[in-house]
Amino acid sequence: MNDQLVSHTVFVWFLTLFTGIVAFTWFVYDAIKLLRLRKEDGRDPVVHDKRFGYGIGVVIGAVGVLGVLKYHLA
Amino acid sequence: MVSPYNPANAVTASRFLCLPPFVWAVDNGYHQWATLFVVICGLLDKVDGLVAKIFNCRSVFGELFDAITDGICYGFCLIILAAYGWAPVIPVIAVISLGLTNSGLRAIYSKRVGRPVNYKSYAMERIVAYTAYLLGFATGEFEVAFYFWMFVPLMVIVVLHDTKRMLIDAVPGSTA
Repeated sequence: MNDQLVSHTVFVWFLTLFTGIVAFTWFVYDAIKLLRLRKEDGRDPVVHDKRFGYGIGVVIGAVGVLGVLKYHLA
Repeated sequence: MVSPYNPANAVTASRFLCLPPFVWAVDNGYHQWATLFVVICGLLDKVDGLVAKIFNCRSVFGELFDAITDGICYGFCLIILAAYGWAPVIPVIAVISLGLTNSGLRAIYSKRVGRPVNYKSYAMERIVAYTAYLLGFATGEFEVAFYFWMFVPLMVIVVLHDTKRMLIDAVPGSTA
C-alpha cells in the first residue's frame, strides 16, 4: 500500500485550490444574499436568522481565504 | 408518509462506512488517504440532499438523521484527530462540547414546539460545513492551528445566538 496518493506539491495545491475557491465563492455568495436582505424587515425572525447566518458565512469565507494566504505568504 | 428506508437515508447511513478506513489511515500516518475519506464523507453529505430531491423522499426523520450523522461522523473524526495529535485538543473539546450543547437545545426546542422539528439555523449550517473543512485541514496539515482557533469564537457566537432563538424568543407560528 502506497502511503501517498499524489506528490506533496500536488496535495498542497489541491488543498489550496479546494479551500481557496470554495471560501472565496462562499464569501461572495453570502455577501450577495446579505445585500439582498437590506430592505427586508429585520424584526421578522426568519429575516433576522438569515441575516445572521449569511453574516457568519461571510466571516467564514474570509477566514478560509486568509488561511490560504497565510499558508503561502507566511 | 415517507418510509425511513429510502435512498436518501441509505446515502446518509453510508457515511458511517468512511469511519473505519479513516481510522486506519490516521493510525498508519497516511495524511492523504485520511483526507480522501474526509472528502468522501463530506461529499456524501451533499449527495443525500440531492437524492432526497430526485426520489422525492424528504422527511423530518431524514433531516434529523442527517444532523445526527453529521454530529457522530464529525465528532468521531475530531476525537480521533485530537487523540493522534493531528488537531489541537482544546479547540476540539470546545467544538464537541458546543455541538452537544446545541443538540440538547434542539431537543428542548422540539419539546417547546410540541412536535419533532429541527430548528433551521442558517448560521449553524455554515458552522457544520466549516467543521467538515476542519477535518480536511487537520489531515492535510494545512494551517491547522489558525483554522481551529478561528473556529472556536465563531461557534460560541452562533451557539449563543441559537440558544436565545430556541429557548427565549417566541416559537414561530405560536400566538404567545
